[in-house]
Amino acid sequence: MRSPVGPKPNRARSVFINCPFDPDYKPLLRGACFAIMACGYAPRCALDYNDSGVVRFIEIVTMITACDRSIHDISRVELDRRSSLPRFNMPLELGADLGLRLAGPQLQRRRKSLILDAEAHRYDQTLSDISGMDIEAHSNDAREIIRLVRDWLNANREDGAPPLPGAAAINDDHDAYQAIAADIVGNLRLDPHDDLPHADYLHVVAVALPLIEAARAGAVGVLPTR
Amino acid sequence: MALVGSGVTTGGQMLSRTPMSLILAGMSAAQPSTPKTGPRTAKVGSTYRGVRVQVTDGRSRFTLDQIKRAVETAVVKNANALAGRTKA
Repeated sequence: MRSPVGPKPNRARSVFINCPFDPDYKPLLRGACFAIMACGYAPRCALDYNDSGVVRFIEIVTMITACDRSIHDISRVELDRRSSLPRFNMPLELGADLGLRLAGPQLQRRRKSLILDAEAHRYDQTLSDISGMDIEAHSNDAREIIRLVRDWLNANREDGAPPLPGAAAINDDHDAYQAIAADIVGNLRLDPHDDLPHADYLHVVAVALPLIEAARAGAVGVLPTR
Repeated sequence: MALVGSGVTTGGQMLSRTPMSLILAGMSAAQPSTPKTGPRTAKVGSTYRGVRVQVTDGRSRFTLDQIKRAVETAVVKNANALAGRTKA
């Protein structure tokens, strides 16, 4: 069977994620991706290019323009441990997105953006120019980021579309996924789950979501053979 | 041992128990295109709680068959725990 590489998801169903790619943030990124996929959207981020997420700015902007929705996490305001300097990549990409929305081509002016921080109103000190926009605090909690992402996608779904699955259900299914993740990884003969590369994680979640739903409904089981 | 399952829902109603292989086969089938605003839609996908799961275009080191088998085996192994019949 072929490798699970499909065509690029269409613009209306794509969500660009601008966030840190360090190990501390990984549970939050994975939670956000899980919620995005559970809501019927496709997450896109620099990790689509490589596992380090280090790509040229032009490629980032190209990816932003290919997604109608964006999530920007500006929570990494601490100084880098090695350089003792702040990192500006996330605010830069947020600025590119907002520039497209405010003054870009007509196609880009319908963009929807969710801005996340770890603490409420901290942006008043770090990035006060965005005051008045939709900014939510996730408290570095994966369950909270799942709720925020789901609620935002639900509030910005297409006209006439039915409500998305509830945040509690998605969080419970995420917990269920976490409970079986080690078995999935073991079945793939991989290292522990934290080392599952980003692209592989997305493909696994896409397959797992409907099966977890069925299993939680008690509709999957093992029957003895005759 | 035989595997059974049913992740197939229509309008929120669970259908009768279906062999797991049929569920997985259905995940490869072409889906009706829901989004109308873009030029292309993912053809591989499935339904989760009434929404169609989009498939990433990122390249995986595994085939779809390998991933399906890995997930299916894990889900069936943990079926009782996932259904709340035993502690996980």
